[in-house]
Amino acid sequence: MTVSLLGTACLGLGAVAALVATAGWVARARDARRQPPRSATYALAVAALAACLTLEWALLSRDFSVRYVAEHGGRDVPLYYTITSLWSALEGSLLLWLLGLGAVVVLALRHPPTTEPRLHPPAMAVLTATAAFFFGLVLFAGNPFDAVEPVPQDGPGPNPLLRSHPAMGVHPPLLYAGYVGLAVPFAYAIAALVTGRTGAAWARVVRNWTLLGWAALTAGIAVGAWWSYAVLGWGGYWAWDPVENASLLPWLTATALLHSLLARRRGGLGVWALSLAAATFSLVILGTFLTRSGVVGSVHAFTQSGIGPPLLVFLAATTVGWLALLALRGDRLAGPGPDPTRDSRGDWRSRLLSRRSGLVGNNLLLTAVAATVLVGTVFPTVQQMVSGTEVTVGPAYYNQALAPLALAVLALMAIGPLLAWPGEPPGRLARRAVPSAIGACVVAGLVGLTGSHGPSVVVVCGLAAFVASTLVRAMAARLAGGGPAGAWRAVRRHRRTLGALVAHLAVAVAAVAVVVSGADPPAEQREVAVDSTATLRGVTVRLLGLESRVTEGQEAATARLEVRSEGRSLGRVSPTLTLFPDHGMVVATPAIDTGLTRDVYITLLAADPQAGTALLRVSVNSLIGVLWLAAGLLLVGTGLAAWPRRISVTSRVGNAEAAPRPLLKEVDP
Amino acid sequence: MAGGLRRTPVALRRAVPGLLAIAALLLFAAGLTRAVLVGSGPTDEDARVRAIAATVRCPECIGESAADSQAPTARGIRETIREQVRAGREPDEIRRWFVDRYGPGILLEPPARGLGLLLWWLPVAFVPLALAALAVTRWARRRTAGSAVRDTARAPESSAVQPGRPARGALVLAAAVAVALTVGIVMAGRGTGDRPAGPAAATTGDTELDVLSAAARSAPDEVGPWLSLGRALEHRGRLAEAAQAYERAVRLDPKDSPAAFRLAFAYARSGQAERARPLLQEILARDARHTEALLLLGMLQHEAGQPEASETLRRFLEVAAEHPAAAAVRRLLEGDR
Amino acid sequence: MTGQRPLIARRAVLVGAAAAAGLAATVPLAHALRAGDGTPAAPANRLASPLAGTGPDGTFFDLATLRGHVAVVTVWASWCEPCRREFPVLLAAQESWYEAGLRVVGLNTADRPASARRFLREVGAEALPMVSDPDSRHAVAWGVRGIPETFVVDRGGRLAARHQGEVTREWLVASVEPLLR
Repeated sequence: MTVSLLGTACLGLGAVAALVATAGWVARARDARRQPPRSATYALAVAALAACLTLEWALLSRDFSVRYVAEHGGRDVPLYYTITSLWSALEGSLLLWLLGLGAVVVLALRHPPTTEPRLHPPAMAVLTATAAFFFGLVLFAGNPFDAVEPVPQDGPGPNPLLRSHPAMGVHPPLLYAGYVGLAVPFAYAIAALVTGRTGAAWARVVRNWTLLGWAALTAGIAVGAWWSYAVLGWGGYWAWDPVENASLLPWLTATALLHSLLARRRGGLGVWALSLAAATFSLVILGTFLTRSGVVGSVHAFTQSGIGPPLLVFLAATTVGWLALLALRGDRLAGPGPDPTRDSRGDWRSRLLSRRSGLVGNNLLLTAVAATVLVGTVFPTVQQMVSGTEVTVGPAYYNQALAPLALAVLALMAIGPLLAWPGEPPGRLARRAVPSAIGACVVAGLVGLTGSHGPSVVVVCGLAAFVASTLVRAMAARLAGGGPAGAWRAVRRHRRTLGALVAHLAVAVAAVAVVVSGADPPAEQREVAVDSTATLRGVTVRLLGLESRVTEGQEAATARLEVRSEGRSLGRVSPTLTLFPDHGMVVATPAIDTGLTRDVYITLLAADPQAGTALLRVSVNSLIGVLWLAAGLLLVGTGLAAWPRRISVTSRVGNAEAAPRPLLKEVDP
Repeated sequence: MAGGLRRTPVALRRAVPGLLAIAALLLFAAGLTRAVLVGSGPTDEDARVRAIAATVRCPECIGESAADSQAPTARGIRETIREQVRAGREPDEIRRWFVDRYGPGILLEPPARGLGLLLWWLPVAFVPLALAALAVTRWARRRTAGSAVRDTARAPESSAVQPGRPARGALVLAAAVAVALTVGIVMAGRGTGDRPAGPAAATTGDTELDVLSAAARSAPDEVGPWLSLGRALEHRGRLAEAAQAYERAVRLDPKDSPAAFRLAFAYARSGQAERARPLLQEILARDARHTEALLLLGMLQHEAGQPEASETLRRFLEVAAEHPAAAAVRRLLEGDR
Repeated sequence: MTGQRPLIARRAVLVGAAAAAGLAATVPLAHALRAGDGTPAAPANRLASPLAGTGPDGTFFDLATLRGHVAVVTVWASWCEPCRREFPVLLAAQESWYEAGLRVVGLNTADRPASARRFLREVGAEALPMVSDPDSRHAVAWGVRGIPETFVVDRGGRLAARHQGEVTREWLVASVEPLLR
């Protein structure tokens, strides 16, 4: 009872603090002499933290008088999954969202844009208002601290899928960190519209926050894919499920935003970058709405709750708000400054083949991908509404619709690093591209002539080789000369560029892994008796024994297998099939023998311990390990580019916008 | 590399990159050709079944395809697809069979009709449209800028662009890129369709069927074995294959009413009423008092909402008043009135 | 500066229109929140798919032999708990409407014969005609979405009604009784 009161009090105090802070920041935005409401801002973050800790305490102390614990806690849940229960259901995950938002608010408070202080108060007002909305949402639409009467003896525990893999402790927090991080670019977009100020300071603060949110979102998506691969037992990592799409949509627009900011630094894409920053946050809220309100069905979606309508109102209000601001105030923004590099060389063909055009193309393609995914995600809902017929949009659609766009992105990535900022005649560009193109043709030809790959694999491998070669040449151009010490100096000097190049390389590698693993033959399955062997997809499995174990709340069957592949023993593995009767759910945890180039993936589909038979499903998945490596490489590159510089403001201004030059120098001197 | 080449004669120095490029292009062409040939080779039954199952949703699951899911219904769907592929039905026919039973939501690919058109055209049209919009706005801005007083300090937007020829050039180029992209994307999208399925003579693991099937194939010009095979298949509920066997029998002897009726019945039971009706009318043209044909035709017509239904059913009642289904037919006719 | 004015106004109009479109798009979404549960309409008045084969005890049964009767076809498996609960309801229905021409038929899908026989013994339904469907092909031909699912076939062999999930006496009364008149 006291815990219920304490938690609700935290939420109430947080809501009040957020409202006070919002009012304070609005006042300061109108009158710079007003004091910033620092204590109220800190208070909302502390309240969010206190609410999370209170719920965590209730979960750990098995206090079933608290509704959330009664509904999602359980005595038989291990410590780790008790802690992660905080975000295993809707109300708790909203608290986690609030905690992240609180942290972001404090960080944004402590790191104002130094050269453009007027942007700070309105941005803070937007952030604190968002926090106020979410406090209200938790408090009134799904308070997890409601008292339960009578107090139950035990709870059902979290959804079985959410307590079968340690990634549960990482994946949702990372995703939420990404989502709340992307709230800051939105806040600064609004601030820019309100104050009429953009420019280098705006671009810098938005870039830093977007990189932060984007990196967290990327990591979250990658961990989610790995989790899905390691737990769900169907052998895939991405199913184009609405909740997955909801995390991909802001990721796509944030990626476009990062690139548009790059072009912005060179004067351009101003209002467009601002719109992307705002649209990204709208997509975050749309994703939350779609997946947390029961509008679309998904494996991830929580059960229907009352948060749908308020979220929809919030989504409409923010989206219409920024669109209206853009319409009314957009023209007040200083237009893109004259680009000193633009009109120096005359021919329109050279100007079209400039780095800027490449970035515009990138933005067009990424927006097209995002629009396709968005329409595919909301289509079933809209169709149901319009005609009442039930329609499904599945992987077949996304694969077909996105393949040409993805190829175009890859092709653009291949020539992107070759493009110079000012542009240059096509002939010179072509001459610079020739070595990489030759390399790409050779790689594609060899891939086509060896093994039995389809045309998509050949084309993607060729394009990826093209990308890799131009990237590596660009890196070498930066690092060459001056020996190891010089290279180290060059790394420090070109850290951002090198980070971006590494990240692009990772995307090319990931593209190859996705296409090659997508062309794998399907899994094979067979019933195997104890002490007999079966060869499925070239993998020989011997069923040594079947064990079934019944504990409280779950019944597990484990098959002990000895696995051999290509004449080599892979040792013993034990795929498990777990039934959770309380939830009516079966989780088939696969046994995966991970290798860099291929995984052996074995799932136990059914077990009959009395008859001594097990239904096994075996697949050999190519390059999945490479996919995870690529995700890691992507994060390394992002970290390299995002790591804050320890240079004083004055030297940054003098240094950052160095003289424009192509990433690749002429091959022919 | 540049240093080494500098010492060679100029002509050779020029030729080397060209020759290298040609060799690389040839290698690429060879690789791609082989890949296309590998991909388009005769696909086995498993691949065809999988390709179709990947477009059918598992009705028990959320968002999983019948190809991936381990749910019992998904397994049943795969088996059913296999049966129909063996019977030589086209992927679209098979998909329609599922839509008849489960509704359009059973397909993972949304239909390209109505709102679905937007879904399929958006990815194709987005980039060309956006490029066109970009070109038009720039062109408009240039025109404004051209007529405006050129004041760099007060109108920074206008200073970045130049009036005249480049604008037209950019527009033409944008249009060309848009057309090229559209064509390319449409071509790319077309390449991923289903390949036509050839009829497959597969062994079934069912001894009786294997014997009958072998008998029919060894005497392909005799009606009897095909009829027996059709009955055996029909008895096992494998209607599509049964219909195929009956088709062979009817083709051998178009006047064989029993075979034609079995075929019509198999069509009707496998949801192909539009094929069954003309066949039944042919039978009735030869034998106006064929009881079962009258009953089946009447029921099919009734189902399709055709007005002739009551006439056919009344004729059925005249011919066979004692038929076990007569009572039900009478009630049906009364209900219609 | 004068040359730029109309451009700005046009942009304001364009963005305003976009805002309005965004608002308009959210309204139907809100409507969807209140939309129904999405149970598909039963494709009624279609000829029922054929159902013939051996049951778990090895006897052959063909649904076509029940022409002239009203058949309730229940799709079940021994591992399905709701199926266990609904069998008494189905058996009671057959008892009360047997004279009127009701027959209950089972389609035992995705199951092992031994488990099915044990189940039938336990629920006392050994006398019901059954068709085994280990690979779920019959279930798919009937358009089954999940078990238990129950179909009503009228005297003319056409699908009259279907129900997903556990059947209730009320549903049977509503969908079977009119056909028995």
